[in-house]
Parts: sequence; structure tokens; C-alpha cells
Amino acid sequence: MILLRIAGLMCLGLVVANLVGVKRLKYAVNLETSEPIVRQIFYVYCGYIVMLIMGLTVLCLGWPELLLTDGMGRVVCWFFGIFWGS
Amino acid sequence: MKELLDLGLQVSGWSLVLLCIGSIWIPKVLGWREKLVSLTPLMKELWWTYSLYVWGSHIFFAVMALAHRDWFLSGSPVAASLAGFICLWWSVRLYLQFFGFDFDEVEDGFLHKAAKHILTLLFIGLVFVFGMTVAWNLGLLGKGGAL
Repeated sequence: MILLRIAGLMCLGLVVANLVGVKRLKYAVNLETSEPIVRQIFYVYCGYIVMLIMGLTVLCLGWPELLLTDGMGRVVCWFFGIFWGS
Repeated sequence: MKELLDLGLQVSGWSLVLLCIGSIWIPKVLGWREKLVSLTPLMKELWWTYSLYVWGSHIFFAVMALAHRDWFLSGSPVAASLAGFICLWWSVRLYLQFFGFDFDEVEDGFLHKAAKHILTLLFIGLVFVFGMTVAWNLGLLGKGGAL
């Protein structure tokens, strides 16, 4: 459980890093020359990834015991295992 | 009501499977390779990585909707939360379908228009089914739930 809470804190750090990364990696500058639909899709993708990581953060920090249950806990763990492993 | 929701989740799951299969052609149909030429290598890598992750998430939603319907309709707060997350995901997508994306650059042919309308209907359906699943799990639709 402690390890899951630590993982949750790391995920929280990643959420913050993603938000900082927008400016650091100069998304706006790099996307300036691309078409509007490309810019829109890119930002939407970033938003969805942050949403996923935020969901995992909330789960790990708030209800880590749910990830240790049979059935759904296992499915969710598999998903995030593949997510981070890839 | 539970049987209806069960059916709704099955239809949603199979629709998501079709969406995942159809998504394989999106890069070709929308000409992503040509459109991404102006991006830096890192931005291109982020683009493809993120799109794979989003595609993987859709597969996950499909697996959940098809293989874990009993859990989704168990009336637990956790089931309500996960259904709520998925409902939020598709609500955002539905909002973007109407107010977010600039589809002017997409070809105006019959197939593109048909695909756009089918996708819009799919997103509406997914928001509805997962929204109802949240309501069921919270006990707002009968003997479902947590409240």
C-alpha cells in the first residue's frame, strides 16, 4: 500500500511535469507551422494523457486498496502496467 | 433497467471495438504523415506515442464494457467512479466534436461526412450509456446503488 501511495505521488509529479513541459518543450512554437487540426489534436492528446495519469494518481493516493482486489483491480493494474511498461 | 444497461454496455463495448479497428486507418485517411512533416522529431514521437496511448485506452474501455459488465453494474462507488471517468472522457470528446476541432481541412466527401456523423452518434451513445451506468451505481435509477 505504501508503495502504491509513493507511485501516486510520482504520478502527481508527472502531471505537474506534463504541465510544465508545455512551456519547456515549446509546444506552441513547435506547432506554429503546423495546421490547426494538428495543433488541436496534439493538445487534446496531451489533455487525455494527463487525465489518465491524474486518474491513476487519485486511485493510488486515495484508494490504493482497490488496486489490490481481485477482478477489476487486476484489470486496472494490467492496463497501467502495459501503459508504463511501453 | 439493469438488463437494459447491460445491453447498453455490450453495444458500447462492441462499438468501441469497431472504433479501435477503424482508428487504424485514421492516420492514412487524415494524411497525418504529410501533416506532421513540419514538426520536430520529438514532437512527432510525442504525437505517435500519445495517439497509441489513447488508442490503448479505448481498447481498455472496450474490454471493461464487454468483460466486466457485472462489476460495472454492481452498485459500488468504485464502479460509479470508473464509469464516471469514462463518461467524462467521452463527454470531452463529444464537446470537441462540436466546438473544438476545425474540420475545414478534412475532405468534404460523402464518406468523410458519413464517418463524422457516425462518430458523433457513437460519442453521444457512449456518454449516455456510461452516464446512466454512473446513475445506476449511485442508486438513482432503481435498486442499483451506493447511495
